[in-house]
Amino acid sequence: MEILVVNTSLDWAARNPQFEDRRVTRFLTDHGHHAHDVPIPMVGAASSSALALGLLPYATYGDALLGLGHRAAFAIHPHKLVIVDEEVIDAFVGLGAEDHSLLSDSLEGCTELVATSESVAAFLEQHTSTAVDVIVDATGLLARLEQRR
Amino acid sequence: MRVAVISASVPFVRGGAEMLEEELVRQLRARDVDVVHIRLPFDWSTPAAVQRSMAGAAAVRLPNVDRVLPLKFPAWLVPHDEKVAWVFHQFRQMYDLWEAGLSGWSTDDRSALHLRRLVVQSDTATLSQCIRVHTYSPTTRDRLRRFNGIDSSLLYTPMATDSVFRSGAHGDEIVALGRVSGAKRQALAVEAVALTQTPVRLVIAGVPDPPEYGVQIRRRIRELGVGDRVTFIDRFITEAEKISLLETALASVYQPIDEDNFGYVTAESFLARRPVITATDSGGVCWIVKDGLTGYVADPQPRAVAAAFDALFNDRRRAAELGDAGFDRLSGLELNWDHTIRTLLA
Repeated sequence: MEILVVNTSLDWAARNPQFEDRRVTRFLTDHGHHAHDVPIPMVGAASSSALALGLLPYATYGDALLGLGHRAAFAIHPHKLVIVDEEVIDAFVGLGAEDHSLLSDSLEGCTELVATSESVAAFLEQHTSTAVDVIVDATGLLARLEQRR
Repeated sequence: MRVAVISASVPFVRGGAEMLEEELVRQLRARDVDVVHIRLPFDWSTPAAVQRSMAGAAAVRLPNVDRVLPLKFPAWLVPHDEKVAWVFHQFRQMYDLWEAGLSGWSTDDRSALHLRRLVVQSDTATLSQCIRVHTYSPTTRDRLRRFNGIDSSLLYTPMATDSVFRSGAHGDEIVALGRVSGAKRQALAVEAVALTQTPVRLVIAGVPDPPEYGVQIRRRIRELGVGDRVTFIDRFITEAEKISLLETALASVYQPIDEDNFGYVTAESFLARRPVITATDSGGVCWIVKDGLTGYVADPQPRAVAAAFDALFNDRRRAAELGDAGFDRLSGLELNWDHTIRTLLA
């Protein structure tokens, strides 16, 4: 399977070393997939990255997009698995109604949405209508990606 | 200083430029520079797809970055006040390849014509906004000046590896390393082997891209009956394998079609003191491979390439002299990361 690995959060690796994008890419490659990391690590409000991520041509490539960080929800791809960490909590705080809808709709639009911890999953369930599972390592991500083949 | 290295690439395709950008990031980190690597996906299947990629780049915001280093189109469209461009690749389909009728799009196609205007104007505008513009080869520098009216300073590419190459006796094999593709033209070397007067051998080693080109190479080896003299290692070879192949090679053959830079294959061959056989239409390679001085520059015809193969096979001393001269030529360029990074961060 061809998998695009898209890190969208500047400090993602510091918070989630087990999901560091190059490490995940290597892991997927070691398990027989053709993975390619296309990082676009950003900071700041999710809405400020929505346009760029929505325009960039991720959908042209790969059987699946593995998004690291909540901003990846804005990328367009027919099979999009996004893993979200606690950064999403700050992202939702203080959002106006319009920006809240933009972010929650995008998260709900993912083929699969998973969280790095129970607390993040519980938070997401308050802001989306999606049931969110917790995945704690790359093996879990791989299983989830392959489940959809 | 917080630095963003921004490149653009077609996902799942990996070549010399990708190796170089990764090495640049690694070298910056080794000097304690806080660096992020951004790799924009690029789709050039249609004019609309290119425009979308451009718009995506222009929409990227990097508020907490002190210096942006864009390397490939459309990375310099990312807005920032502190941009220093190191231009590896413009979108050549809109420049020299367009003029040569090799863009893949009809010059009567209105959407392609519109795109061409847009790309040229956007490149000119956004590169002009950079604090400085560097180019990585004389070919790129001249193209940028000609089409965009932008002067740039040359900043050559240091090696993307710190491997130590060895130089042994010059054997019977000519090696063709790197990505195996129509643009790199390894098939020409296969055709040449069939016309040689000597028992010179050829080893092609690299990943076929696309795979069909690898199939084509195998078929020609069979059809020409040179299977006993041509070895095709159709996979990614390790650094150790590459060093070993070069160590005992007679020479290296590298004949891409109109390449911008001299190529890592050339540089690595010279580091191993192997002469390089290239073609008159190989572009930037001819800037460093000089006919009769550091290798041979042959017409891109099998017979001419075969003559170069035979000449080296028949005169190993000459092969060694040419390889030594290539090594000296490369050393004279002072390709080192300290200089490169000082220049980019100045």
